[in-house]
Amino acid sequence: MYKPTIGMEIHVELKTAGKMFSPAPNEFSDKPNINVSFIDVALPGTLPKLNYQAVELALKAALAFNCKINQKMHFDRKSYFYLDLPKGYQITQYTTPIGYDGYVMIETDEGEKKIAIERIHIEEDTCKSIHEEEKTYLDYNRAGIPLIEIVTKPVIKNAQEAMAYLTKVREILRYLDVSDVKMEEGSMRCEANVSVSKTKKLGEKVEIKNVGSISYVGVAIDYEINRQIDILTSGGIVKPQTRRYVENKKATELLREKEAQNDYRYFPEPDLALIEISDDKIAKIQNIMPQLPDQLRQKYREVGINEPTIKALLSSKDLVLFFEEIYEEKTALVAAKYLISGVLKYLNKHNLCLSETRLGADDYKALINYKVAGELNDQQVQEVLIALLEGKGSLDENIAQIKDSNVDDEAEILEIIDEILAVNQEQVAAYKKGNDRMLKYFMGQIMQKTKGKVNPQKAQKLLLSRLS
Amino acid sequence: MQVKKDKVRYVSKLCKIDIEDNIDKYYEEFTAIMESVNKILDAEVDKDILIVPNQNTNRFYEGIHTDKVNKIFAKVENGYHVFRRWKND
Amino acid sequence: MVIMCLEGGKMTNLLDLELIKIHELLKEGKIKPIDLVEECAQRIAASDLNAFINLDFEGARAQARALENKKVDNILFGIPIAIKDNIVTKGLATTCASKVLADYVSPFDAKVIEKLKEKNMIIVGKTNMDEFAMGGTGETSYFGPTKNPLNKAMSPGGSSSGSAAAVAGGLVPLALGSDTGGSIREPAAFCGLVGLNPTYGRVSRYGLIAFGSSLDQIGPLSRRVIENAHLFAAINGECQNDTTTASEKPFVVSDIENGKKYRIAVPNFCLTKVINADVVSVFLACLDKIKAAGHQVDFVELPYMKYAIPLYQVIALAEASSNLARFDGIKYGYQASQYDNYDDYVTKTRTIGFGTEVKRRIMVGTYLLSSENVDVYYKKALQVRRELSDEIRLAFQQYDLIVTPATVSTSLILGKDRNPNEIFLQDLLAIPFSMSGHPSLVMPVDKVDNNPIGLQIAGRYYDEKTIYAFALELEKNVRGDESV
Repeated sequence: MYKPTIGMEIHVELKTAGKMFSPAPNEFSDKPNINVSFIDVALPGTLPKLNYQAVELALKAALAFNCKINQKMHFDRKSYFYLDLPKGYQITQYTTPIGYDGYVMIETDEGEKKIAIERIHIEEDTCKSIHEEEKTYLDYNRAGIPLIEIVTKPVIKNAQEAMAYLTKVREILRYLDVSDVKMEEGSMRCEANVSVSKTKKLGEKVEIKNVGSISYVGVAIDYEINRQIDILTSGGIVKPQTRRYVENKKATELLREKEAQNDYRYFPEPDLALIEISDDKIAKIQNIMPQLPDQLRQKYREVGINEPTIKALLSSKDLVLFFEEIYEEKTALVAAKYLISGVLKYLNKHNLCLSETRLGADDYKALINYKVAGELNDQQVQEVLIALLEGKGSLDENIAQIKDSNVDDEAEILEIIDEILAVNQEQVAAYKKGNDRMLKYFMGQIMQKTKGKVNPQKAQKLLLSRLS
Repeated sequence: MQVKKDKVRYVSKLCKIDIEDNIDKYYEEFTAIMESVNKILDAEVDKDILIVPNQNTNRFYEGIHTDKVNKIFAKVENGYHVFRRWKND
Repeated sequence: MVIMCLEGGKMTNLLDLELIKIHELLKEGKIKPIDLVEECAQRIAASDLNAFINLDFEGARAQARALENKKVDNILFGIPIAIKDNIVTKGLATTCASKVLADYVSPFDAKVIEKLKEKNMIIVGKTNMDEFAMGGTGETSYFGPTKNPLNKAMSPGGSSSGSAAAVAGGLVPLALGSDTGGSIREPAAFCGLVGLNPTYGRVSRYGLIAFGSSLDQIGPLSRRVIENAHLFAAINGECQNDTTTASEKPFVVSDIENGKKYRIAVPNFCLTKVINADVVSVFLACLDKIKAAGHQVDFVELPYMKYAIPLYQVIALAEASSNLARFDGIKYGYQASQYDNYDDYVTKTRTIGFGTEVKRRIMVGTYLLSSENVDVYYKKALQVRRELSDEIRLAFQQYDLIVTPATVSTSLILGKDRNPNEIFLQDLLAIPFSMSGHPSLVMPVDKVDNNPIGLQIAGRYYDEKTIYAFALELEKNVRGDESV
């Protein structure tokens, strides 16, 4: 029985103002060679300048992935020739990655699993090259954009785990706000190293590069595992290769054979000062660290929010931040419910994000309090919510309007109750024999008759007085 | 450590310098320098490495600015720095 | 004393005057910057030293004219200067004496150039050098060797060959060189000049085309010690574009204190057989003068100095192999015209673009960093570097200065085939201070058969002021009031 072993390498573009080692803007641009400095094209005489913001973001990520921190670190040069590498070497971290020995918890069919992170290091991106028929076009906008590379140990057992891991990493990075983590735009790119073996000794590994989405990673890994097993069972040998995923074939294909061992000639970068990360700095970063999805998930479970609601909440960072802003243990259940059934539904329907609506946190909190106090019914909450999302009137105005149209007069409510009881004698008899469910039936009738514009608690009180 | 001629060839490929026309001369000079370099192997050491003398730490920059460097490229098409494409790439 | 001639009402031989005299004449309005520029132009035109690769007299004249309306506000105002051709200058080609950069024009000025321009110095041209500063005689230049003005059959030393020759030959009063393992100090010694390799981190390397990044420093070449100090003061200081520069308070000439007595260490290593007997005897005579002047001189043991050459070969060549990787013909510089693919293109560009010495050094450096060698050689070298640096630092706890001969011998004859190690050997005594990052200055102390012999004076980190103070006193002592 062949067992697959998978290690993942994820490159993530950091959301900084400037590039890793130059002051050119780190911005996406449709126009080539716009965000480029002398440093990015390696003009003779230029020297790298270290962007502090990038170090801070990388530190934040390393801490979030439970890494140990190299508090004395330096950069190294990784040398190879390629036309997208302006200096002939890439500045990266080889011997002192900012973070090492970390982990991420993922959920699998067999429960929670710890994915060991070997290292997280900082490096610079290469330039973009576009090959056409007769020409090669170079765009240095990407050259020097700060990246972190997150490398796992070879501990992933199958495609599902790989996808769960990627999803979790993306979720964490999004919460940390260190990156856009958009795989389709290349701000998150992943490579999977896949091998299969019958024994404890790992098989020859094949690298799958730059797959465009998390689900494709799953397909690519499954394909690759099967390909390798097929080769081995038919008596062949798996060659160390770099392969790429081809979407329309749902298959991997050969990109290049790996040469014996790439001789990258790493040595410490002498153009950059050493970096010391103080205990103080680490404490400061930890203080501003947002609550991560796992912590939130735990908290929401404890107050009894159901799993689908938790999942829906955590899938949108905007939503969960909004939720956290108004979070109170005693109203959490109701607040969560209307965020999903009201707000999220509205957002999805109109293809909006929360910040594009007029809904304020204070108003939402007050609205939920009305509901919890029993002053509004479900339908009314939904109506006010839509009004608030669309910016139609203030909360007070909306509430006043509902109260105006409410059937509030006791005599009027009693009149309606009497009408209902009169035409439902059978049910009244059943109730009197002890069938409590009938109460719900009568309440439903009342709500229908008043089009929901009655305070349910008040109505029930009056109903009970009539039935007794 | 004795250097083999194949190693010199390997290194020349690694740094993209073609020395085949003069391999013997390069090999001889290479060996001569390595003879001198090898003397460092005798040195007794028990200290940590020194990357840059007089080391400063934590030197960073803040802020951004743009240098538009388009003009330094000789061959620009639609903003791209452009090359004739290599046959075998 | 220099005789100033008056020809048709115009003063000539201004360039032979001391800097302070030129400054006074400018200040008094007796001469104008353009007079200095014209004299430079005449002398360079008449010179056969091959000291310059590119000249910019059009720019220099325009600048000189523009300065006529400005106040002479500092001692370097209006003074022509020559710049080693590995320091980039906006609009004026910077070639590194290599075919690979033969037509390269930088779109920006090096930090030191900005600083010289702030002082209103006039850049007249870019000086010849060993290709990419790799060499010790100037002979590896793509543009041919530079001659020593004191004896044209001899090398002016290297790699700052043209800068030294231009100053020693009276073509310019001052020049900038760069030093990785003696590239300012050796030519200073061979041309009878004063040359400073500043503390590592004193002078911004932004705009210096890198050779060995952890060793490279830009420094001044001059005829007199005080002139050297003025130029150093102008170029030193922290730089936002070079994160290896020091935040130390910059050196100013008024920091130099006179009349102090110093404790001076002399490494026993200076008397080893490798060093030419003439050089040793001049050195010992010089030590006697120093002692006679009331300074304390002790011989000390610095055992790691003997690893200077292999140490330099490992660190400088490894760094060089990486620093020169950017010359691939993709972005700038020489481009091969016939090629099959990327690999072929880069290989042809580099094979044709680089000279033999550069190729050899890149290969050795690449070898030293490749696969298993990085631990055997490179890591070992970084450890030896720490041992040597600590040893020197320790010596500076007890001594104010360390003095040694500048070079192993006197100047070398041009056009001779040499063992590739021979050139490295000249820098045996310069390299230790490059490795530890300590400042050191070379100044002329005597001549043998008309070949100058220099003394190297090293000081504590950022303590160039003590080196200058001592050198000023010694200059007076050995040269009296006599001028060049």
